[in-house]
Amino acid sequence: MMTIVFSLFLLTMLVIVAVAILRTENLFTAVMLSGIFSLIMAANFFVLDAADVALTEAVIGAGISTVLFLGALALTAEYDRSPPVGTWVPLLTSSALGGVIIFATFQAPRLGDPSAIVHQHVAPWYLEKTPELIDVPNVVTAVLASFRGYDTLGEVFVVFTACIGVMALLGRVRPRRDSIKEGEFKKATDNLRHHLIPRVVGKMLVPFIVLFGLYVQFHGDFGPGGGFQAGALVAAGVILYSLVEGGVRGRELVPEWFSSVLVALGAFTYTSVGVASMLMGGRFLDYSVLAHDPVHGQHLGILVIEAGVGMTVAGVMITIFHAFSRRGIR
Amino acid sequence: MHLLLDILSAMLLLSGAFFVFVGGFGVMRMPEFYTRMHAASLTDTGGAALILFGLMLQGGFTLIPLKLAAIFLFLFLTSPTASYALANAALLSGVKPACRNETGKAFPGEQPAKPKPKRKSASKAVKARKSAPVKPPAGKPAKRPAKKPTKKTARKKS
Repeated sequence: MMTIVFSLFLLTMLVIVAVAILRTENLFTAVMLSGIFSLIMAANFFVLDAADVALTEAVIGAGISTVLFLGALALTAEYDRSPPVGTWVPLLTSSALGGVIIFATFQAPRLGDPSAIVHQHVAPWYLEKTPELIDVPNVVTAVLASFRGYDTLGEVFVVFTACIGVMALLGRVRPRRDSIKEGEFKKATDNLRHHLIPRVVGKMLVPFIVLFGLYVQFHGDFGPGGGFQAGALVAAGVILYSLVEGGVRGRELVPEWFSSVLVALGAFTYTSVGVASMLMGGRFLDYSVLAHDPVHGQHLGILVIEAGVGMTVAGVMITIFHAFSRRGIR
Repeated sequence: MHLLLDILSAMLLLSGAFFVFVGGFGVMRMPEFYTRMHAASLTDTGGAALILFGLMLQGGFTLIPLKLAAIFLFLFLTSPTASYALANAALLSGVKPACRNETGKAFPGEQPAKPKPKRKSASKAVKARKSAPVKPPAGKPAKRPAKKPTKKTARKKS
């Protein structure tokens, strides 16, 4: 009962924020509202017991993507232009689509219905076999990293490809030995001199954010978390440091070559676990052969591929942020 | 002992809820940006702290109060910082506090305050659309916008 009331409240808030995003003409406001939208969405996920997704949504949706949007706004204009086509066609299209979706929800099973199709297919098998085959308390991690290891590999490569695409669009500058000249450095820090309190507090928080990221990384077998969340959290720590200390300092902390190497290294680590299990006589991404004991092999495989996922995600976020902040200086 | 703890935590929770409610009310009713932010930020930090303390008492001797304490510490650091950054950003981008003294004239040394600096604050989600009537509760200490050298009080008396 309480869950339903809370969900209703959150969903209503979502609708209000969505309408506000549509109505505002100031893109800055729209970005902030979309951050709020993500935060409400994260709370909603949490109410629905999807803690892993909630963590990801909070970090990426509300945190990092807001910063990236702001970075994009700094390069473009602050106000919306009037749409090029009339308002009737889009209105008709979206209301028809919305009507179809609303109609479809009438057919959807009720929340928590045990006879729903998703609860009939492979989910019971996962729940039943996870303690025996993989033996980690968090079934989400077991499904994500082992049973569905191919899918996660695909996701990692999606992120990897997205990073390549963004870099191709933004035009990666060759890191020219990254010797930061004194003048540029001073200019960058001078701009931030007025913001002493955010700087001090932000710097105070960075180590704890990174520490929490590492906790989420290595605690992913036992609780909500894993490579995606941990990578985003670590990247958020680095991005916060860059925000309060200036992009130059941020690039000094994590150089661009390092974050790009991290992107490739993470995907490479994941794939090489699969190749290693092939070399040791199993199938691709079949971790059971990695150690003498199949269950122990699963643990090892999950640990390593989660590390790979974390590396790639953190690297992608930091690389994209650096690309934006470097362009913003010029 | 249990009863005592329950009563104490209920009191804390209720007063925290009251603070948060008053904060929301202030955001709706205050005349301009800085006073609204004052209402939101102060009560938010205080109300959240009270609610967290109330929950801590309910947690008992487990790990929960420790986690809540960590949340409290985090909020206690970040929330005022966020308000400060917001006020600073508003000031730098030229939102003037509406300064009047009792006679309705602008304070000396200040620009004649516009009746209502109608700038939409970018980071507050849902603001009251209607311009609230100028009626702050009398005697409410108004806050200086953070880190302003001149002493300005954003007080309006109609």
